[in-house]
Amino acid sequence: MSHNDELVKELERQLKDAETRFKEYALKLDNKMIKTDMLDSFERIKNGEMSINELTKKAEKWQLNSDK
Amino acid sequence: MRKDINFQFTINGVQLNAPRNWQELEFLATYDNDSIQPNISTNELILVNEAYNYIMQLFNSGKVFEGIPVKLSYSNSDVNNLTAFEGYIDLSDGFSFDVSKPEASVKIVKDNGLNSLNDRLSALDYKYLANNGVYSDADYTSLNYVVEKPFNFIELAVSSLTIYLLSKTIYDEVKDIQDKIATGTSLVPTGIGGGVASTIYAILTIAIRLAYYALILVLIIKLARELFDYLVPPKRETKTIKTRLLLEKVANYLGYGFETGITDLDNYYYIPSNANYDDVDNITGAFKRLKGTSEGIPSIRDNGYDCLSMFNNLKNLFNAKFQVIEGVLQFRNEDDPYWENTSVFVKKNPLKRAEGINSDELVSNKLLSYATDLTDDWTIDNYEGTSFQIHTKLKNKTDQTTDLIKGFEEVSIPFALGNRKNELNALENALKGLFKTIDSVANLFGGRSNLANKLTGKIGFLKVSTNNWANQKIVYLLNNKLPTNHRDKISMRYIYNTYYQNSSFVLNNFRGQEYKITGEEIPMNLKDFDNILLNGYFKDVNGDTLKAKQIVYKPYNNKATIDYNWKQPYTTNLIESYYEPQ
Repeated sequence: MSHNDELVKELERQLKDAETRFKEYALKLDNKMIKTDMLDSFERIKNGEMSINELTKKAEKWQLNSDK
Repeated sequence: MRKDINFQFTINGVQLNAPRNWQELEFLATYDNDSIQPNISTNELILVNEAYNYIMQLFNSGKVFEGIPVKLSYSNSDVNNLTAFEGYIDLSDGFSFDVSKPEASVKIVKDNGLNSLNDRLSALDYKYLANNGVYSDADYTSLNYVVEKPFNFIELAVSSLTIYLLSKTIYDEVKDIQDKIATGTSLVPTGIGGGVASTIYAILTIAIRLAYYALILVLIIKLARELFDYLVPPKRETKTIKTRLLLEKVANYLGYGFETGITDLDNYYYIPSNANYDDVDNITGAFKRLKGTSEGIPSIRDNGYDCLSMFNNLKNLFNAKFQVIEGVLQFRNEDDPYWENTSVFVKKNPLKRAEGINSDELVSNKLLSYATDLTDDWTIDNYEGTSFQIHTKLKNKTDQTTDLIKGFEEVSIPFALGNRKNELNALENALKGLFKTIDSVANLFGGRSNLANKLTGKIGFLKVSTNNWANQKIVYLLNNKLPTNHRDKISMRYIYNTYYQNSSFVLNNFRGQEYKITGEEIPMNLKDFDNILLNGYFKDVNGDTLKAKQIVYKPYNNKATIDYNWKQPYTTNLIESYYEPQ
């Protein structure tokens, strides 16, 4: 297996870990609206449909709503 | 009445005639707040003749707010020229004169007396001393710290989603490169069909794509580094000072030596509050300059900015007493054997006519506590060690109503405890794997990245939830670092067990219990008085240790009326219980 193959495998593992960790935190959220929006955003990121800019804007909105 | 006693009176080293009322002089020595050394005061001196002329000459020359050295000495067949009182005349307080008689009335203040020491300490503050070179950078110890907010699900979920997005972007790019390389390799002619030109074209295409994706990866790594800066708190540095130096340098400045038996003064470090805001880029929000405290001394907002407050804060923390004895400021725990060992006076009369007990000093509910800081959540989140409660109750009682022990006392120390970053937080753990991978990717492309190690390198640092903490702190440091057991070495439980047991009515064989003896008239000569002034402890001929509370000494009569306490248990039917809030 080449270095590149090893790297891809390692990244796949990281991606899986990141998904598990995100879901663990997201499912603990009390605010249902934020929770749903966050899980929906996750699916869009997974499908390559959301950019970092869009995520940043959404994150600001979630933070504001959670402070209310 | 002694008729052989002689009195010498000097002002500014000039021997003058005795005050008119010298035979009526009484010296009142009071041991306020259980102090070791007394405050000495006398009745006012009435100066006549040459002493009057001398003092009026000083007054007329404007010497009002400057202490004028004065010495009152006695001689008799036993002692020669024994100084009973050395201090200064204070013309700013209670001075009066009558030119028709003529006479002047003056008050005198004892040198190194508790009041005068306290007055001198309260007149000083740490910034003034720093400006005068008493404190400098060499006295401060740098301490690394991080600003880290407590756990927040929203922030954590958002951060982990960002990490996921970044991980996915990297994965997609790397995967794409792999696919492109595979495709490119398949395009390379194998000798069957295709010319040299198409082979060169295919290789060049791969090379250009590789360079392009390498560039993308470099950008991702740059992004990861920026993410690191935003999500991972940067290493910061603040100044602290050893608590011993907060005392010793002040003592030295006042012209005293400094001695203590409290070794924790070498490990307890003080951190002032921090009102310094970081310099931040207004557009990107990135840090331009981090700001901790630049001096380890208390700032003007801190309780302890003036030296007397700091001395009292540390005195309360260590249950200490401080006194100037023979030119050395002694700062010692109340129970330090030094105090008893240096006592000289022996009361010849063994009788102790007890007239009471110190039951008024026993409180049912005693609380020792550090401050918390609303601007630093960790001082509230990690509360254990911040306070310690001691309940003293009857061991055996017939019913609840017979328990007469009452009262509440709080010893409140205005410092907040520091907190140690013991482990990576949830977000850092999430980032650790990603950063390891990014480090590998960067290194694959010939770069040098060490983000993962940067994360773990902050373990052991001081941790605060905001960079602008409002309350001063105290921390236990070993070799300038917070050890893992730092809280055990500075908790209020530790403070009670190490420094407050002598005041317990239960521990150490009921050591806090005392009989009170008041108004006992005893013979006291000049030498005895001199001895007891240095140290309020004395013994009787049975070897029992006694502690003076008040002495009224009349040198002309060779007598004193004394109030004192005798350490002796009077009940064993007491028990202590403890509570340490988490």
